[in-house]
Amino acid sequence: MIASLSYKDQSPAVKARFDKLKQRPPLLEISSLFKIFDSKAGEIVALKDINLTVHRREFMCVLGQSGCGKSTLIRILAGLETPSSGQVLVDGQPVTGPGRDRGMVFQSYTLFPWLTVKANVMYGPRMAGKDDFTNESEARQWLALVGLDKFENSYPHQLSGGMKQRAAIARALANEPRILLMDEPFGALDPQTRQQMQAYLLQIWKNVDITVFFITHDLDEAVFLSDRILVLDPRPGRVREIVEVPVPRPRSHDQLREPEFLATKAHLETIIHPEDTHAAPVFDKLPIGRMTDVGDDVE
Amino acid sequence: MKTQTRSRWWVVRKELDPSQSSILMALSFILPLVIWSVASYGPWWKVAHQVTVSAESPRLQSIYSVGDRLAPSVWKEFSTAIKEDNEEILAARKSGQPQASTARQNKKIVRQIHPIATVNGWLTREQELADDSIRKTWIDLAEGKLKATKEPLTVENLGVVKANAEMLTKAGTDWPTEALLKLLPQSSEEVSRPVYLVPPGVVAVSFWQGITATKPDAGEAGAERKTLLQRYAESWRTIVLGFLLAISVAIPLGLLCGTYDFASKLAEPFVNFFSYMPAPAFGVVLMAIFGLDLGPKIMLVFLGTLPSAILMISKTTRSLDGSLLEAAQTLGANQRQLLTTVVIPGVLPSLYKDLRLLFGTAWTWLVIAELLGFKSGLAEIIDTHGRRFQFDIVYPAILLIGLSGFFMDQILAYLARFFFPWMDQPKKGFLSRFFSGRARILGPAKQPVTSTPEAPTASPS
Repeated sequence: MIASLSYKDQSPAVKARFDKLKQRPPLLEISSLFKIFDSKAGEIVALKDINLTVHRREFMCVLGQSGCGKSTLIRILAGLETPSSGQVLVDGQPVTGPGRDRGMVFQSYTLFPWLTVKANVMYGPRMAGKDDFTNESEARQWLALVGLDKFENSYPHQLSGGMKQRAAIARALANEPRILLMDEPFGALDPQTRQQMQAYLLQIWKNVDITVFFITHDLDEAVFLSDRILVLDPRPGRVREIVEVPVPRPRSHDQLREPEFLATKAHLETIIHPEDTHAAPVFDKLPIGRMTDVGDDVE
Repeated sequence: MKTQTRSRWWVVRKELDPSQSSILMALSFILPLVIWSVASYGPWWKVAHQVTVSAESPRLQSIYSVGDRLAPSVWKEFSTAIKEDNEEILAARKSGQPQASTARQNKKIVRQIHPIATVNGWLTREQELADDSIRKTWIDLAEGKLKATKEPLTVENLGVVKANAEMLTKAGTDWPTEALLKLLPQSSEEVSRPVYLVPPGVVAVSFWQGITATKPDAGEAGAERKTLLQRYAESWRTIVLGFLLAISVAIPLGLLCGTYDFASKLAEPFVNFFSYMPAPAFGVVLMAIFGLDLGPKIMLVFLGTLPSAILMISKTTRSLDGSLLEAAQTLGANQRQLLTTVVIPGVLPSLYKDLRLLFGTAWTWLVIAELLGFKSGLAEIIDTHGRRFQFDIVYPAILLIGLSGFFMDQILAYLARFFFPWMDQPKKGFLSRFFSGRARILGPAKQPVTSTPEAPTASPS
């Protein structure tokens, strides 16, 4: 039964959802985007002809091996780097530099260590000149949303990794951006915390009018979170495929073993394969005696 | 397999127990003290006789003068020779044919009392050849009018004094034609250490006397007289003023260089070049510009600290985590806000650490600085007494500089935790160890103060 199910088979409910989604106005439009780095070895094409449209309230993941230009892409979207050619539109406005309409969450916890959690969340609005009175009460609400209301006066170094990242999400959301850019935000967390954070993120996404653009290299994470998955090929980074995830919402981690989930993951595995096949060790030709007296019966 | 319960001392990159650490930290001070003590109190320094009363004799090959240090064998030879001389004179006198002597020879014998007379304050240093005064000293001494307060004469020598005084009085205003008795050599026993090796005990006593002294010590003739603590205060004034001046220039410049490539490229190459020119080399120029008083001293500390401070602070500023700046940018901070709300607060703890280090190095400039123009402060003690080889006075002054720098740094390191409660600070160093017990009693760190929001803008109503 599992083998017969393709990742392209969508249940009627999922299909209806996708149809609805595609009718929403586009929030992020990337057209013929190139990024070329000059290095001593010559020109390196990091991104080649990327075209993509992300609709409002969509959850989009980017998957790819290291070196496929995932991070470069998200940094261009954030305005931290400029593309060599091509255009990025957010809500119809071209991206020219970092801006409040795009919140970003980094893999390294980039909370300001000298500010309390609450002051960190208040940072963006304060830079925009929002008065502290409303800012503070709003910051409390954002912290309540990510479950950190009890830690508003703690300093970042007193928090665990997961809590730090929740605070970073609250800080990004406090600016009320149109799109949340997340660059492997849970990459440094342990598996349990990671699953928790994924569930948290879906909750937040459900309750806030936000579009999420999420970079990861974890297949489970991508399938669990996204509506669509953008798969990039490495060297030069280019679009391999855009996969529509057939797993129905609301999602839970129990779905990790369901046929739609497994079929999608299997497909992703076939299109993302690590290059270095030659690195597989050849045990039969080991030049040294095997230092075991249990023989080969371990398997 | 046995489990290892015994704590080990040598493990690669592994921290020791607190108790082990404490022992070693104490040892790191005790060991040098032990080495110093062994070096100065060890059995290898022979006892020598430092001559305090001398004499001359034809029996001896050489002439020994006051202050000479003689090996025990030489000393013995010396004393016996003079004794034999005296015995010969007495024997001749007894036989009724006293040795004849010229006034010149007798004057020479009488003058031998001069050094010990100066020590006891009976004569001044300049009266070395004032024969009449010296003669009077002999007679007064014999009559008991003078008493030795510092360096007494031996009983034998008092006998010699009496015998000679008698003859001198007999001769009236003339000099006796008969040979006078010679004063027997006297000496103080000294351990013949090199002059620079002052034992810890002596230094400790001298240090204590120095810091408890209320009367000014005898400085160089004509120099202002001050106590050790007054000079110490002078040193502090020089270093603090010079240092404050230096960092008030270096902090803004360093922050600019570390933040803006423009400032870095414009300023740093020259500052880097300038830092290779030793500041003391500009001493003469500084005196020409700022006179001879406090000015050149402060400016030397300033000049010595400034280049390295600028380079250090700019490097520290550059090392600020760039992702914080990127995060702030994505949150909408503009260029000015990046500087005021990210760079400056973010760099403060490392900046504070830099300043601690720089203040430590400022002490090295101090000594050279204080020798510019009119000497002042602790360096004056080191210089003037050092020239006279009075190392028992020099070492306490050097020690005072070392202790000041060390404790200042420890105190500042300890205070950092109060200035930067948001830092995850390891408990290192001495004072924090020392106070960590107390801090626990005082209760956990107070709830960190949230950045005080400015008063909400008044609503237009």
